[in-house]
Amino acid sequence: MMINKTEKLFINGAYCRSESGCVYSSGAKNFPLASAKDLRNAVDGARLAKWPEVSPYNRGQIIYRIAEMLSGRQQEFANYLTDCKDADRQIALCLDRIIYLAGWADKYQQLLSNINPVNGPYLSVSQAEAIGVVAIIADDRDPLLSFLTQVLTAIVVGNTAVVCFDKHPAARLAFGEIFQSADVPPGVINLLSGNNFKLQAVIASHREIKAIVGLDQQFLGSATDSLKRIISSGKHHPGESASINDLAAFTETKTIWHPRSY
Amino acid sequence: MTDFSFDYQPAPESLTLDLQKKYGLFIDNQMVSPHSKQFFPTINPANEQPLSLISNADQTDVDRAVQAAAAALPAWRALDPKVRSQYLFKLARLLQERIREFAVCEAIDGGKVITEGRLVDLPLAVQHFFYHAGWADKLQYLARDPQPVGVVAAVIPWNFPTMMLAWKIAPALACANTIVLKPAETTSLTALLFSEIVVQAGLPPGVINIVTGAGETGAALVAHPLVDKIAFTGSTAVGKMIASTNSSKRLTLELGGKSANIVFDDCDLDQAVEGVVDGIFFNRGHVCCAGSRLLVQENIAERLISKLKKRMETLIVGDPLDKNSDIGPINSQEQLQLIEKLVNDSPSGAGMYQSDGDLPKQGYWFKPTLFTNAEPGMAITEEEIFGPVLAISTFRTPAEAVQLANSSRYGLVAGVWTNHGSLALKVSSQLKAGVIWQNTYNQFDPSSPFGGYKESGYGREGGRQGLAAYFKDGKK
Repeated sequence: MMINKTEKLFINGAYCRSESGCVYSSGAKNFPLASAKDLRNAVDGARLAKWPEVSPYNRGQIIYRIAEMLSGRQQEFANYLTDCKDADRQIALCLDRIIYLAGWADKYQQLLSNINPVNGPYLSVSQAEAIGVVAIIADDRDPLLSFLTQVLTAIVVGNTAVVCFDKHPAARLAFGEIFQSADVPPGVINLLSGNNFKLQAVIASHREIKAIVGLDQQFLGSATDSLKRIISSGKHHPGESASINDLAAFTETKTIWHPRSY
Repeated sequence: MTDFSFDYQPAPESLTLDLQKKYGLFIDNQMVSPHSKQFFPTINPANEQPLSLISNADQTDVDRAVQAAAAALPAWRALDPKVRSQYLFKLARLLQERIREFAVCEAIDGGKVITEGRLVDLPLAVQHFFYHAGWADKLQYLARDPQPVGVVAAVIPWNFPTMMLAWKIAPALACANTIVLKPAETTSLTALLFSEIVVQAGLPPGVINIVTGAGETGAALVAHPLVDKIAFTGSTAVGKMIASTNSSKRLTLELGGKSANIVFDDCDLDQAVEGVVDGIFFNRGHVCCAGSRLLVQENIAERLISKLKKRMETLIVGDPLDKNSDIGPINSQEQLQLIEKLVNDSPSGAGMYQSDGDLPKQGYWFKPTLFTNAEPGMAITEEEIFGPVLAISTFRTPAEAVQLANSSRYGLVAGVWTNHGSLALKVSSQLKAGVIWQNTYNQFDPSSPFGGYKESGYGREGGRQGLAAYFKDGKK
């Protein structure tokens, strides 16, 4: 007999049931229906995660290890994507994508930062910095490839992520196991299955979320009340590689001045 | 013992400035009468005397200006980039030649002291045009196929009228956009003087248009369907409104702040005092990046505050045309009332201190003020006051300083005062603010991106980061 895995949310590095006790069915299985409280717990995890301290080199190492962990489980993840055409190819693309993004970790800064030639005796340096906690409403086209592209683009530049999805919960929740074994620190990536629409209302008004990917237009008013950065996921296919401009969308520019005179 | 005191004798700048009795709107390189037929007076905040009448543009007027900008776009974007560059160089030179005149105008129309206008605002505005002029024919190094965004709607505030005009017009034109600019209703005059420069420089009609009016005019402008990009500098409340209703337009917002000036015990104390004074009293505190929260390490708080009070007594509050004045009048009666309300409503335990001396009888004036015991939760600690009012609190450890500094919904700038480079760098990396000034404050440069985190807005102005808001890449 098949021993089924009880599906759980992935919050702050641990698998847990929804505090709501509610589930929804997808295929033949039940998945936790994340509540507003689950979301807030995930945001707390993301806010306090030890990720900004991790050096760019080490961030790249950890993301590369995600690919290593996926590599041995390709068939399993392809099997999750029963309703996708050519799931094997999507998994292969996922591996390429993870490795491509891992390589950005210690490079984007050199393309986005500069010394400003100011008119005075000061060193003025502008650099890219993470925005903070990013909420991602997962895109459902090429579900695993788009999910990984969005999540890893957000975290490779130092953000932490809370990801919400209603479709393809099995594949996406199982990715928490990959993140755990790749030594992604707890809280850096949080995975919530449930009602995307209901969760967006909570996301849009949560003060500790600083940016949102894929927000439904109707929550814009609420999200702009705290001036969250709204990052588009739709202009190009989310499964496409992240260009330097896509990475830049997940950063703030911080400029530091220091006198050169003494 | 005889008490000698040497008072400063008045040293007023001459008021040679030709103002018209009434100003129209600047559309298609012409001054036109407003369709609204409505005018409002602009007054000198130092003596409440009217200076001129300003047009109050209505929706039809705004539409006319935006149509002009849209009509000018095809030819302007098709122009050889080096010609666009040369137009901007021309604007820069013409403005440079009229710095004195513009500074006088800002002194009487907005209350900005003449020394600041002449030495800071206007030179920076000029430099902004020079800096961006050179970009116009070099954008291909920033994008494979740089294309203008289209018609820019710029709405600017009253605290740095000409500088903000330059911050919007220069990058917009450098990237081949056309623009409709709305100055703040209390400080329209320098924008209208600038329209003379546009004509002098021979810019094609419709490339730069200036409409005047208050909030309704601004709302009509940003909502116009032919506007492709909104560049707004002003209050957080209005910024949020624009953000929530204009999702399809490109948007940059430069909004409010409650910035922390963090003073560690190992700093050069006298230098820090100067920085704190400059941080909060520069331009009467009418500065989005004012260092309005002073966080001082507990063990030096007493010494710092005593030096600060002493230094405050030397500040001269008075006639903005007088070269000795440090602090001019508050920009408007409305703003004065806002400041008075926040200060008067402060709890008695907040430790209010104001400098000595009398204020002029006429006009809108407010004394340099500080609170030595500003606690979290108090309005003076959390709200943007936009006046010469400093909220002081203490901390013990760097971690506590960072936590206090970041516990604001704003995140525009921060000052860090310490002689330990490593401490400065560590704290700077943890502060959620767009600009960090280490052992200095209020430094601006067109090549250096300015703008904030969180509710201080989004996007940057200046540098290549600022330029990015004004072009798109035709090749994705």
